[in-house]
Amino acid sequence: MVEFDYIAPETMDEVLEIISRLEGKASLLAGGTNLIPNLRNNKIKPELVVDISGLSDFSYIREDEEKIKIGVLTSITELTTSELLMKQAKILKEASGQFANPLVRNKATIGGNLADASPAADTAVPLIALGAKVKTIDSAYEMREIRIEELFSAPNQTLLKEDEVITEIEFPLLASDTGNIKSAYEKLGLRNAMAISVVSVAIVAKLRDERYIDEVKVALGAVAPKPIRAQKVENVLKGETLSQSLIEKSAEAVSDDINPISDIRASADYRRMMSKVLLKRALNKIDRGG
Amino acid sequence: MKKAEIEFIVNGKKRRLSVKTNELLINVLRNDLNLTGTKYGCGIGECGACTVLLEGKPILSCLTLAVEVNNKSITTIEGIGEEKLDPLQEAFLKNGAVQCGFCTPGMILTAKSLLKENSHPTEDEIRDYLRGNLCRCTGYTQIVKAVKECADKQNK
Repeated sequence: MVEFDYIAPETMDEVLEIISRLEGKASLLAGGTNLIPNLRNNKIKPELVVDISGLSDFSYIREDEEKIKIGVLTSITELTTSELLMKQAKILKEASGQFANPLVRNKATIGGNLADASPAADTAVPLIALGAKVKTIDSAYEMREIRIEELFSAPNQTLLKEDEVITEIEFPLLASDTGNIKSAYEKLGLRNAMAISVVSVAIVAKLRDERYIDEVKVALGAVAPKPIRAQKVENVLKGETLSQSLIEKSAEAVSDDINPISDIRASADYRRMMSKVLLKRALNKIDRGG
Repeated sequence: MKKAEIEFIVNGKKRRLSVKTNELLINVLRNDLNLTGTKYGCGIGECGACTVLLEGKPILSCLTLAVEVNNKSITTIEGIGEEKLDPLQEAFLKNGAVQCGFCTPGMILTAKSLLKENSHPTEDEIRDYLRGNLCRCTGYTQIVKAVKECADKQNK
């Protein structure tokens, strides 16, 4: 492992000052479950590791102004045990419960999972379907909001600037008086535990009169260079009544949304096939009541 | 060589030492503090042999820098059952849940955390909670049985 200086600032102001001064030669450490393997195989060689895990005001899950707000340093374990998410974002809680294992979940953070920008990032898929955004701040204290599906630019790359950090993840409340919200999450790994996704699918749909699809967001992971929103599938579903033939039709459309590769876990063909299967499973789950 | 001073509590005792900034917690525990009960398995966070409790929660010491635990508290397998065996250790012995023993420290620490959170775990819940601790002797049946028996005994 490369040698580096280490600092554990106590405030976000210090973090921003440091990373701006280091101009890309600093790496942030939150849970470290990606960072440390990356350091050990020399994938990254920072001059300075900035340990942000001690920042106290960035770990929370709360409801505020009709939105759910999650602090960037909230651990995956906290997502799995949150009553609020159970009620408001079951698919995020479900995805977190399938995330690696409890030992990794105790350290890994939601912000770290997003900033790592793996095409298979497990929190990103439900967050895209929930219509989530990240809020960021840079060293000039300029803030911006980026939709999760736009945050990723390539495998393991985000749009974040060198002096910019994520502070919060936010999405609108699901429960509403106007419609009937259903959601579903499906993940396929090579085994039950510790499996990186081969394909994952998340859907959030707003139904009217039982089966009419008013609004729908569909997200897929591990089938493109980044987690994606499946616009073609959404176009097939939106404004239609949920039925077996519609489910079949949407599964055909998914091929146009995805661009999978072959890797150590699965071939591109298998991913294409399983994207259809998982999408159908998720839609059937919604059909049965979410 | 870049170094930093850290102070942390290990198994109830305060320790102060100088560590390399890029040193892993597992190496400091094993090499500097001679706590060799914590095992080095895969080194990439897949196997759970290096599990220790950080502020009471199980984490992987091969995915943790020693400098991260400054001012924090760590419990290793040496820190439980010091005077007499922990009920989980007893249950593991009684049920033949130890074969080569390499995964046992991690299994027991993770199981301890499970029983603290959930005093009545089902078999499925035990298997799910222990999913990050691999046993290459594949003695899972006895391990799950030992955890279940320990929970049942404590609930009496």
